[in-house]
Amino acid sequence: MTLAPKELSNLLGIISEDACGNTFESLSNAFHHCFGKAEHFRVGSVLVMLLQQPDLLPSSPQRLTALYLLWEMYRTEPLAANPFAAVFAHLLNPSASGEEQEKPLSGFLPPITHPEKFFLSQLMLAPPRELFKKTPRQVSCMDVSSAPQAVDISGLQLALAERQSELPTQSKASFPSLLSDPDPDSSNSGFDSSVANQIIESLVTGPRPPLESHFRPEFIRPAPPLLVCEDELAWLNPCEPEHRVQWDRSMCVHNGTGVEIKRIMAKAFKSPLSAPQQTQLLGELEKDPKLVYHVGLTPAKLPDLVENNPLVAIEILLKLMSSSQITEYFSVLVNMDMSLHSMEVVNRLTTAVDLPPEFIHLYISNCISTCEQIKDKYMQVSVCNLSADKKSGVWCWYRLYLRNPRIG
Amino acid sequence: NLADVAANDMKHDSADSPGVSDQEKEMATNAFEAFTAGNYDESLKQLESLQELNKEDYKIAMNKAVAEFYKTGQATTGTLKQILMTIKNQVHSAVEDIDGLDDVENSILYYNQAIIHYHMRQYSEAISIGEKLYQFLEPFEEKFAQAVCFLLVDLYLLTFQPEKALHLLTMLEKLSVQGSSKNGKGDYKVRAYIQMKSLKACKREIKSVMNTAGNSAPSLFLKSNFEYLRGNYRKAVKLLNSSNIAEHPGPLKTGECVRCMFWNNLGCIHFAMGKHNLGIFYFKKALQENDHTCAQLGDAKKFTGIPMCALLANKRYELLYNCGIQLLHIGRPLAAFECLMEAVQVYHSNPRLWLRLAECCIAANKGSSEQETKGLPSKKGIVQSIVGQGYHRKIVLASQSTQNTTYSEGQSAAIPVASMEFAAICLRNALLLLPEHQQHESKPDNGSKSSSQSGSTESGSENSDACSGKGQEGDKFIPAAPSSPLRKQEVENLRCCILACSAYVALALGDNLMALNHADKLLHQPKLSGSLKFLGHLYAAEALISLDRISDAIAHLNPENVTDVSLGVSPSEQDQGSDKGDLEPVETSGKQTPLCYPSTVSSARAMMLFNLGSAYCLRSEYEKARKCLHQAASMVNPKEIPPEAILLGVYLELQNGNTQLALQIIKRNQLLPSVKPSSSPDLRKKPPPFQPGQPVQPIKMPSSFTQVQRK
Repeated sequence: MTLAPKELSNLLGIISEDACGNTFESLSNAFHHCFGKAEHFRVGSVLVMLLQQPDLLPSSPQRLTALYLLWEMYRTEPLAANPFAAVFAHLLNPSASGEEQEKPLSGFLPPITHPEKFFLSQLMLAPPRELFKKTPRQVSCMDVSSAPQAVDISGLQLALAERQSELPTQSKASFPSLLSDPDPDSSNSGFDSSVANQIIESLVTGPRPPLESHFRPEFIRPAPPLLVCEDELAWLNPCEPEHRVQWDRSMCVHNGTGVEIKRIMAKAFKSPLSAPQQTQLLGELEKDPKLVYHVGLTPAKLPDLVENNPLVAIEILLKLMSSSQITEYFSVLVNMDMSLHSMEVVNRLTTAVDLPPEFIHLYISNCISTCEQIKDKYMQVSVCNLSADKKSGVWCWYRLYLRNPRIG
Repeated sequence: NLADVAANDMKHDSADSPGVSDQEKEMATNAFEAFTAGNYDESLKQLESLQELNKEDYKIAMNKAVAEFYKTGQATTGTLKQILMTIKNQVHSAVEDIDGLDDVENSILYYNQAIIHYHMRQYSEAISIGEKLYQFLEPFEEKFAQAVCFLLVDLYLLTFQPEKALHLLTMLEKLSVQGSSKNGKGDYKVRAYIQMKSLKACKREIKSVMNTAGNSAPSLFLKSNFEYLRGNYRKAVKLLNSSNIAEHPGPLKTGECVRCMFWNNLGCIHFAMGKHNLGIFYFKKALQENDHTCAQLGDAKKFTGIPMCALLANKRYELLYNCGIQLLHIGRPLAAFECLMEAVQVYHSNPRLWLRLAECCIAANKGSSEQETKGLPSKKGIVQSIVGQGYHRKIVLASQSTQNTTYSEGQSAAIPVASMEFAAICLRNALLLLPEHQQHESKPDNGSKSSSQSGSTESGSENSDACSGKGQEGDKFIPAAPSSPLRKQEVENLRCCILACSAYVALALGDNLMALNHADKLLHQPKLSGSLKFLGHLYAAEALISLDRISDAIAHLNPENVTDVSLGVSPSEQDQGSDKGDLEPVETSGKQTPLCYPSTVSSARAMMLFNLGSAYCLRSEYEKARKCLHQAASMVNPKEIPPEAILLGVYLELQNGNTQLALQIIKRNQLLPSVKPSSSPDLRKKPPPFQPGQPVQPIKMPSSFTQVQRK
């Protein structure tokens, strides 16, 4: 909302035809009585709009009042800082008054009379105090033919151009969106201020008054189309799932065997088992093919078992062959420290099952590098031990060779 | 059959064991037999006496809870969950601790917990337990191992991870080489292939399903689903109709409301056929059916009082999703918004759903969308109001940009109303949910893998990489529940659409930098449809104008930037991965591609020229602007000249000092009243190539027009 209806009627009172008999000074007083500094810009906008629409502000004294107020509101500041200074510059521009009279640009200010121009020129300079002791009506009737015509406003124009250059192009390109369209069929039956005031009110009051809108080249902005895609909607299929809570049949059946076997296994990770223990363990494993999964042998524990009880390790590994985790056991086996026991385990495995060739490759290359290390480091170690190690290593290797001729 | 359900074998049951007495063993056997016979009271009695003898074994307590649960008709899911939690906390601290084979002993406990999570739709919890169990499959008795696998398969399918499901199914086939139970596997495979949109593989599987269980509702629905995806809509309808849904036992028994599914699927089919009014009719019917089912079931949130399986019967959110999409396409964005807002509470990680919400907001703020759905410009007035009469009559021109710019004042953007501010939030979510751009030259080994991926899952190593998190192929699909996951090309299309909407929304909110940013990103997408490329240039130009970079804007407005306005990426480029191959639809009832505005290359170019004219105006190059305006006007049907263009004509006349002509243009709402190139139907065909150097065709003007030309 530019102005409240009450504010507008105050303003219209001050610039009314009737008030033009008051001096400029008293008009100024009345104005400042009604409006504070905060309202000045909004009031000024309305005054400019009225100057642009001559049918709403037809008389010269009224225009003088409007121009005076536009200047008066900001008189304490430098002229170029007055937001309406462009209005003054436009009206005083000598070239504009020449050409534009034939083709008035819509929305632009219609030309003013010579007394008005004289008065405005006076405002641009340091105006004599007695000027404001006159009334608008008196000024409008002044004979100004003798007065100097033009006042130099180039300084003002320069300042204005500078300020405008800071504005976005779009703002500079705007017109007021208010176009006069007098009906040619209707005769101008004289000015009726009450009709005019009603129109003014509909232009400047209310939410989003026409005064505030502007008109400039605008872009067509089509909205993006909806995303096109196939198979977006949720299709529902019945699938009759049968997932039910289950009874645990291992209740009270996990018996001593399991406990005992686990106890034996725990020992087997630490030290060689006695012959009866070993027989018991292997016997139970033989009885129940699923028991092997319950004995607590994880891949990480395999090296301990291999070192302490290679025979047990072989049996268990053979039983784990179908497990999905067997490759993990293999990789542990390949990567553990070389020893007679581990070689024996591998050897026995190769005789019993088909091992993946890549596993054997890896194992042999480990074998070789370990043998070399032994040579370097332990030259002094008893020849007997070494040769035993080496002999068995070579033997093992040889056996592998025979069985897997593919290995280059 | 409960006898099948029993899991761990009793072979451990050897004689003289010190821990468990013969008496206990006998009671345990009696309790189990009573349970199997459905005599839960007797079973519970045995268990109670057993508990007095044996205070150690937690399994007595668990079986007691299980028996109680069955005694109530499986209707005390919440209670059972509590008891199992307590037991588990005594046994073990966390599922993550299952790393030793010791835990095989607790497998039923974990399995039961997974089952409950599954029925409470806590799928990720259920999956994490299931995957742990899967690691120790071998010790399990075959039937239990299968139960674990099928549960996981179902969970993978429910969470749209079809590749994992397929891998598991191949594992299952191996498991049951000895066993003969093959039922159900085909169904699962078809569902997985459908999710992967591998229609060729699907066709193979569906044959065997139809051979074994051709007349059951599940197989008929699956076949219908398959035909629907191929575009054989009438066949799909026929198949649905041939399933005898009246005889279905109903949701309380099976946990599935087949009638609701039936109506929903009919809705999907009619949506795809472009018969949107029927589509909405069927979706509403499905929703009614679902509401009816839910009323029967009572409050499912309490997890008691209804059979556990029925906890999964409610399909409200799937239906709301479908309904929302359908309403959006029918031009009722506000109703669509309400449906989708409810759905997004469940499917909040679906990027496409967030885009749809934004599209609702855009459509709701666009004004009359009916014009545009027909491929015509919107008819916004150019006159806002007329003030005064006679001598005082004044015209107030309508500013199009204030019609376009919408701020919803006084509301927080976080409160979901269909505003442009909320659209911006939705679009940000959508973008965040998309994966970062991947390199476009796919690595050679990746490529070979994906090409052979559909049939060769079994060739991989035998260890459980289906459970080891994301395989490389996994990132090919982006989840989009409740729809099948998105393939790479679909993700890229989605990304383009999100960026276009983001730019549009940012412009509407006056956030020009963001708009430019989004438009630039859009224009840099490798596979961009002609239509979105056009919009990208248009939006970028408008943002640049507002940022006072007129020259940059003009570069975007070169009409040669528009070469096609199709919505899709050209079919030759599209989906290298899909194996539709020879499976083109046999029906001709093809899918409808919606028209969008502008629908032809020439109208799109005209739109660019109109905007170019506006840009020239801002640089005070009025002659160039006039040329653009006239050339553009000659390219489109006079009735399709957008209001912005007419206002540009008004502006140019006013700028020229020709108020009278400007007023005439306004009153007739026409740009060039006398020039009407007959709008031939050729207009919709491919236009002649645009030649920028070509002088503007001489346009015959009425004398009053030429008179007022300046100089």
